[in-house]
Amino acid sequence: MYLLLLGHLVAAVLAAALVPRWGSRALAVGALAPAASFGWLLVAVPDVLAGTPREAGVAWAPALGLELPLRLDALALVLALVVTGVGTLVLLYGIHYFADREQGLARTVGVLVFFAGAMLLLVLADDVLALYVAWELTTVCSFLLIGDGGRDGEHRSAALRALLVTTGAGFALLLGLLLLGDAVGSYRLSAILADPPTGTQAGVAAVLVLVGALAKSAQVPFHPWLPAAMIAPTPVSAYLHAAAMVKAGIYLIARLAPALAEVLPWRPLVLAVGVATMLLGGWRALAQTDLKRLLAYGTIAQLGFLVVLLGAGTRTAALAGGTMLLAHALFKSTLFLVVGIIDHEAGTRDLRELSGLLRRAPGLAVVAGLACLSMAGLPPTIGYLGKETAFEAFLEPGPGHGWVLAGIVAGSVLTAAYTLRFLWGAFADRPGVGQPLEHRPAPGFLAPAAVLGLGCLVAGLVPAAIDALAGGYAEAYPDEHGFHLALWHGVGPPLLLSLLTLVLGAALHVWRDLVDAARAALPPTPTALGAQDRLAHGVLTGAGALTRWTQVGSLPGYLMAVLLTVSLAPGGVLLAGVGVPDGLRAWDTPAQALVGAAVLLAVAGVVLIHRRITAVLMLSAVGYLVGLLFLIHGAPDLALTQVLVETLTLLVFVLVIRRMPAEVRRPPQPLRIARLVAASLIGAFATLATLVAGARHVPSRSAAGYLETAPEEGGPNVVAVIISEFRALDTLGELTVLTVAATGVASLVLVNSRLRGTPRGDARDGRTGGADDREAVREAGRT
Amino acid sequence: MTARPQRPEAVPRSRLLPAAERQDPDDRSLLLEALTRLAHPSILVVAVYLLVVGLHHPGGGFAAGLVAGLGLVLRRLAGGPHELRAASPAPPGVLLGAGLTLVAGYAATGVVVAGELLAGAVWAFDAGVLGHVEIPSSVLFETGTALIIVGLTLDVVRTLGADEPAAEDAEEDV
Repeated sequence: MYLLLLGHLVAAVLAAALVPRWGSRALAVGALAPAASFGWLLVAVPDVLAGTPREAGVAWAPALGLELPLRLDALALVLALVVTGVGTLVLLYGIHYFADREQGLARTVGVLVFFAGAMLLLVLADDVLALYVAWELTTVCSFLLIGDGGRDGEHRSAALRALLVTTGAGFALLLGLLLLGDAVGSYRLSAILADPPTGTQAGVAAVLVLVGALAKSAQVPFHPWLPAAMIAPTPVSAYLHAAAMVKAGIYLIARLAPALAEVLPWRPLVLAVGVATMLLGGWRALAQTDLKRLLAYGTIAQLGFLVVLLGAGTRTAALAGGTMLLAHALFKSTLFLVVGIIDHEAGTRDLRELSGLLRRAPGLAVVAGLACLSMAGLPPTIGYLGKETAFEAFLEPGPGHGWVLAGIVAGSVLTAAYTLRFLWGAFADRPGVGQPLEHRPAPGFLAPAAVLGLGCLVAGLVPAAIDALAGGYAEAYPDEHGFHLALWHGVGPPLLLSLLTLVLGAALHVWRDLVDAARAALPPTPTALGAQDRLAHGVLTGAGALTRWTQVGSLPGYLMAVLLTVSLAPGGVLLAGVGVPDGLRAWDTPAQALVGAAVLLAVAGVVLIHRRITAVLMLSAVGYLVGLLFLIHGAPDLALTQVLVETLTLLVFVLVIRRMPAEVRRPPQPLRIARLVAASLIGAFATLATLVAGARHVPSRSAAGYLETAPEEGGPNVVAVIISEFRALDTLGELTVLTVAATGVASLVLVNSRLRGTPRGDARDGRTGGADDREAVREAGRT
Repeated sequence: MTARPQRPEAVPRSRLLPAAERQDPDDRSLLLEALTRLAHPSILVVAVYLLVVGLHHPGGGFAAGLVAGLGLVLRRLAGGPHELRAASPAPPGVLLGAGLTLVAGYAATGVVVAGELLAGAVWAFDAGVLGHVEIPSSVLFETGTALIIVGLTLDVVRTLGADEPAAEDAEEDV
């Protein structure tokens, strides 16, 4: 299994590298990885369905308990078949779709193939953290593919919206997964399923996980990112935003439902959101004139349906969910590919500008027709199997099942209506509209869509096989009703409901003018889109206000805040917890007393002298005298360093104060008092901390060991050996920090000085900061 | 090394420091220039001494870097920003990068050779009249430290001590 994942990575790099030479044909190389995975999965089907999941594990950091376990069970199998199967066909389709594109193609190709691998990892991962990583990888891929290199504002805002919504909710997911793992004591998915958690923590975790999953699957109120994402190329929409990535949320809900369905508020939340999404998506789809956006709203509705079925937590619903999941992947990607062909060949996908496609491209119409049969739920397609089973599932007695049944019947009516709208929109003759299609689509362009379209029909004809595939997952629930997929269950409520939905759906389509009129008559309602935008705007405004409030731009102000915090918080703890140590000696030798007195004199000079350079010199004198104290105390290394650093500080001071007034300006009285208090506090804190640190009565345990082994490790200077041998890792870290600090300081100072100098057009050294940096530095420069 | 500019004949010549004559004649101090000329090589020798005696006597890479950095600061004070540039062995970024590479490379070598991060060894031998010599591998680590400190000093002094930062910055790729 790891080989398959690695294969995707290699294929992604290879395909992207081949684009300059082969153009879009490089996608054929990329398609090898999902195709090989699909073949491997097919071989694994009998074993997995017989109840023996394929497992693999590799320890990554065993000391931390981090590993990367993979597990292919019945649910993962269904998803993985969809991801790899649809992935292969979509990549092959892309060969024709992208044939006349140059710009950014290598990136699109590489990211698309990489996405296939990330998605496969997502469904195979048995560790919730690995799952989360794969989850975010798919989000990043989606962002890159929608944004398309930041071509224009519309691409960028659509990509950003998708990224913000899905990663924002992804944080909730991460938190939820961590809580879940903590409640169970294991981050293995299989362990969580084997030992379902209960209680408040499980409830909180369930809500958090659902937020992440529902946002990823574009459920109300997170849904607006999906229609916006339709700006991406059609293969991306078909694969990421219909078949695979948006299924990640569905997958997670399906994965955790057996463990969490009984935990409140999982079931009410899932059912309410799912039904609401199904109705809203269907209703909005009926208002679209862009075929792709129509499909996008249809996808939202279908995802809501899947959330209801797979989240409900009963065997029949799970069976229906598994079937619908396969059905949706087949028919929706078919339809997206069809729209892509129409868009590509006719130059438009607006149903008001399309006419006569039925006669010009009958093959395309047949393929679309097959998929639409499945979408509307007509026999003998797989969509029919799924819909009938769904009705059956909620005809079974259960809490709230009546309401849910009414909701999904209404949703199915809308589905039937927008299916007709799609067919009518794409293929009907419109008087007065020209025939935009110049020529028939190439066979290789149509073939992937045709394969998927035929799949809708063929899968419907073998209900036993689908029953086995979807039923493998449904076995996670107790089998109370013994329902199995079949094309004919006899005349019963499900069949009658099916008929009802079709009739009502057709009626909605026939009287579409009335529907439009009713829509126009409705008062405008608050939209989730507007709410999201207001939220984003509010966050930015709030952050700006907070920044203006805290970042006043006064260096002494910052220093006061830092010093007061240090002296009060840790200082208070020190005073309360440890107290002033006893047995203090004033000095060990008279020399110390002498140097100490000199230090006090110098400090008084620093405070009282107003001439800046003299004050700096006095400050340095303090430093040198402290170095002398170190020497008296028998620490020559420390003394040496102290003296050298003091010298450097003095020289830097001299360089800086050249630009400052010679005299220190006296601040107003209240400020002086405040500074006096702050200085006294930090002084008291430093004194106390030094006394406490030096008053340890128990000898350090490591000191003896250091002294003993230092000569063997390098030399008799134990201080140096500690720095470069025993604690070398610390030194390494400090050196890194120093490097970063030096570069940062130098960059900021240079940016600042450049702002004061004449503006220069060229920025040869690449140090030019962004506009925000400049603003910040300009602020700092004023103080 | 900065190309020597056309020099007005009126300015007193000085061969003491290579780029000192590029500063404002009113700002120059011949005494400081001469002292710097005398002291700078000795400062560098002291820095090297501190570097190698580190494990036996007070010193080490940190102190060595500081001493060498101070030597450069002295050149800056005596000869101006151009003199600092002339005295610098490499741009500060290169020094910082080289130092960090050396230190990290030393740490990684320990993993490869001894299976332990930052593992060190001592190479001891008798060198005739020079007596017993011990060379610990950590001297490489110390050298990296010294390079970083010199780079840091140079960076700070160059940026804070620039007279006309914009003009100085423009010559960054010297």
